[in-house]
Amino acid sequence: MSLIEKLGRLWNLRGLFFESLGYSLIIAFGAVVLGFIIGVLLAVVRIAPKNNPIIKFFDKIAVVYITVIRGTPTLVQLLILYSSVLVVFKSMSTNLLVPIIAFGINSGAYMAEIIRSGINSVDPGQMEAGRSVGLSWTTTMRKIIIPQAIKIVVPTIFNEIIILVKETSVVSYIVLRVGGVQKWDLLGIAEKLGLAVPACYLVFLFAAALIYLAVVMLLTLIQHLIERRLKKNER
Amino acid sequence: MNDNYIEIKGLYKNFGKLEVLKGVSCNIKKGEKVAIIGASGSGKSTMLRCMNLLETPTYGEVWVDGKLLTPIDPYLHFDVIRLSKTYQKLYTEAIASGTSSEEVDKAVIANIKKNDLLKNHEGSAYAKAIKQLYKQNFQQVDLSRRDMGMVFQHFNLFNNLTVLENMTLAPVELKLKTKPEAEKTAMELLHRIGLEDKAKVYPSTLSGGQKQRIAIVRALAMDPQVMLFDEPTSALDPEMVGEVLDLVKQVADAGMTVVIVTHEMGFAKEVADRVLFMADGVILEEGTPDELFNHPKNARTKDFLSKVL
Repeated sequence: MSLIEKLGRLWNLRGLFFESLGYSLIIAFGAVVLGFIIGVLLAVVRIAPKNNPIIKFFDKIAVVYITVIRGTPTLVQLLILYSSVLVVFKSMSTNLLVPIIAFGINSGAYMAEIIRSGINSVDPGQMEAGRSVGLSWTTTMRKIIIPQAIKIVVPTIFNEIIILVKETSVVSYIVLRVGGVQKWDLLGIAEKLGLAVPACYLVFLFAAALIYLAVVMLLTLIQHLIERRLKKNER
Repeated sequence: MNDNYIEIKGLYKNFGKLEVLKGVSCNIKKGEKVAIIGASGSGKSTMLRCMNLLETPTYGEVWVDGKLLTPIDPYLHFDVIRLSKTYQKLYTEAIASGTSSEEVDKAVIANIKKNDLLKNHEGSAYAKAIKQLYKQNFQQVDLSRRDMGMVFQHFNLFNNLTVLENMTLAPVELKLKTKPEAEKTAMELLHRIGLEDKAKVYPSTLSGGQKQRIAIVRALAMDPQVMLFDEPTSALDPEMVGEVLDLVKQVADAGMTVVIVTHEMGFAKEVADRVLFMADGVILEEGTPDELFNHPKNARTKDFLSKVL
């Protein structure tokens, strides 16, 4: 089979690749949203003044969470969650939520540390100024500190998002189901096709790699646009 | 009632092992202009920041407009001390030896204060008295801060908001004014300092002097009762000091209560009704500008003034 023929065959399979890309992106998007929410909550708990026992308690939980999640491999976490869900529910016709939650929980720990460092790098005078005009800690956080922290952490958050998008490729270790039918993520489909046509395995892998690269380049572009937009708000 | 707006009683502030304030008391009357001077590290900024609780005092009480902002410090309330088990024990012991009751009372209280003898459990009468005092007088500091404008050495304008938003955020967020009302007030204030054209810009485009003048009118936009200035010109280029001091003077002349921590001795002399000289965490000397600058009594004050004047 000539290279041209191989590429022609690959083009005929584009539908399968794009469908799989869709699942990869759904998982990544869901995980980013979940991870960001978890990250903001954990970061705020970590940073809140420790003047009441409830916050102290949640702070301890946050520390344990971040330590455990950052201390174990993503793939292990995914397999633990996937197997636990199998034990509890036996079978699920649609299980996209499993990787979304696994990656979201994982990313949340990293986002928490990113956002916490962002909040810490905002000049403490900003909080003092907010408090001095009578605003509460929470309002000052929401209106003054978080918006400035977000600006600081945009590059690092995008770094985390890019890592997350690529890391979704480990879902090929579990069986994805949508409406009772098995589906594959981007790496998963390349491997499946490679098993069927071993001669083209490398081509399929390259195809998957190129698609990941395109997605990441698009994300980088979005990052630059956001950074430029945020910068405009300062002058 | 008295006409003191701010009362600081027996204030101590420790940062870890470092004692910054070592028992400071002072009253600021309504309408009074008070300048606080002293070398760096003397505790003057810390004392000012205790007035609106940006620093939490370790011991002592802060009262603003008749409201208590800190927990009760039992050592400041003799009636409360008298209810404590420790007092009653010491008093009974002392009275048995036969001195007059009034003297014993004084001695026992002095002893308790000096040696920090009050314990965690001093009986229910004592606990109840503290609780009641607190309940009667305590006010959330956020409420008092609305009446106390603060101006910082490093301006601390909100970097993510325009000048106008800087000035309207708190009044609108705290529902003291509607947005149009707050914007109208803000524009009037900006007009007064000649910076209306800066309403829509972000703080990063302003000069230090402009930033500080806007920080001052941001505080004024809350219609405060008192303005606290924490070295408002220390971070400015020399050519911008004048414009900021002019505005501070305007604020003072308008009848506002003003407390200013400053290194500008000429300004303190000109504007203040009363000058406090601080050193090593205590107020060493206070008086009118004439008394303090022209006839200082304390050797430390003389020494300090000879260095800065």
